[in-house]
Amino acid sequence: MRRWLWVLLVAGCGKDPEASPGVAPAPARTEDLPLPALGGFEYKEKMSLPEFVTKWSGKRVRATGFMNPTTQARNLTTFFLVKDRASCCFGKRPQINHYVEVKLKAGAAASYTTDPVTVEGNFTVEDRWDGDWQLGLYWMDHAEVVK
Amino acid sequence: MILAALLLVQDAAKIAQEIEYANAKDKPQFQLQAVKRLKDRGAAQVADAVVEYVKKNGHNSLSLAFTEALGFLKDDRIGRLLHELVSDKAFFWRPAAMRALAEHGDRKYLEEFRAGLSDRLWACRAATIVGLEKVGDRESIPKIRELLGDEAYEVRAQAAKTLHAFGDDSGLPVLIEALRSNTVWFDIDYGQIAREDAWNFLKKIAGDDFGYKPWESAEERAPGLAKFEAWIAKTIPDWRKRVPEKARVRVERAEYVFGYELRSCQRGDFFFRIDGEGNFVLGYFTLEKVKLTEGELKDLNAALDKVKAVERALPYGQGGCDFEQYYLRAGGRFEKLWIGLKGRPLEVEPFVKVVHGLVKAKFGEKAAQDFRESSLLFRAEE
Repeated sequence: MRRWLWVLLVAGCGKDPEASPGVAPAPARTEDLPLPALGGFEYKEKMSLPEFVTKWSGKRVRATGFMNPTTQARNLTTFFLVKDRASCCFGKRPQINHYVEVKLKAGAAASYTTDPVTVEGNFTVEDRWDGDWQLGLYWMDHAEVVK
Repeated sequence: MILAALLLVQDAAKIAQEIEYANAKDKPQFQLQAVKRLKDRGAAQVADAVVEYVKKNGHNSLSLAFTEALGFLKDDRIGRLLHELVSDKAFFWRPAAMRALAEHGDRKYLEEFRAGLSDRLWACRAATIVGLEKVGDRESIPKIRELLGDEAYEVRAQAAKTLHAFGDDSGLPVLIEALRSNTVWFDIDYGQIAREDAWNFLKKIAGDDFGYKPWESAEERAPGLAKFEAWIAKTIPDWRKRVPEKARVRVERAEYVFGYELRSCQRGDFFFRIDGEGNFVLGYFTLEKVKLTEGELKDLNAALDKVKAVERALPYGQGGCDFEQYYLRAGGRFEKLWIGLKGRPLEVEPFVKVVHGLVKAKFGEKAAQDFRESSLLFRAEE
């Protein structure tokens, strides 16, 4: 009964999970998300995203990639996860479909590393905009760095 | 009239925002969108605002993506700005600025391109070769040929490609040789970067990729490699002899006990390792190996012990694309100590001093100066 109430509540509100950070949706199991697949198509502005990408939305996933460096090296609560090491400064610029914006769960923090990191969290595929500026396509919330 | 003035003001505000977003360091997802919008507007419309932004915020406020994009905004004002950026030795993205200036292909900067062939940053040397190609400077062909023996793969490869564009195939052996590149830096296969780059170029001019796949293992790559070698031998039978010493792939089977990796967008790279036989091995594509004396090894290890005592679960200093990383053996694996700009713990300083002395004694003043200047970026502020 409680589970049904919870489902109805979530479905009825349809809110961005960021709007209520205390509520962590708990999908049934964690699946391995291959990051290269998310960037494996040429993105055109406002296009419909392919099914092999959208099928991951709403799932609890585990993904391995690299942290895109920022000016901060310690106590990161949010960072961009990219598929390869070269995407920062020495290789090709990552496109919008090459980023996953990771927000760690409340109280968690991570440090920058050049090693691959494995992150587990709730994954959302959504083309989000701020006015006429595109914020991103891939989002991971309530995340934790597991390796 | 008033409406037109309002539209102009609105447009100016949009351009200003686009320039700001193109340089927003913590919003990388905005940078490419903003760059694209600026490119779509065209150089004539945005040049004054770009110059004004740089004047107000300084050279180092620019992002890498934006600096690269200046190459597509062909305008005298942008050309002058790029020239200014290239001349600023403290500018973070000098190689990108040089690439952008090269992209303009403006003969006015011919002397800068010629001088850039001996720039201390390999990425600048590679970019200036492109610049000379763009302006069609055949007089530089002999100098470009010399760079087929450069210590950096990227420079050798660009020299080979530019010579080919000038109708001179003397650089192709360097690219064929790169298909065998096997450089591994601890767990990173840097050789693949060279293999992939050389393969992408060669398959176009050969009209065939010969089934070679740069990401496969050496055994799997062997049949395709043999076909590429047979292909070049048809036109340059003695191609192997023509590969300059520094471009030759050497078999490296050493076991390493320590590694130092300095990567810097500002200064370039500096790599060295210590192997199990007490050799100091400098570089990563082209390795130079020198045996350390017992005394030198003792001093180095004493300084290294102090580095090992530093807590390495956390990074030090500022994040970004300038860092030094120490690979410290712990049992059967390597642990890394990561140090960003201005973050080096004091306990590490004696090690840096010892290394500077060794590099000077074994590899000369120039290499020591490179190391000193690059590693200074990481010294903690007093």
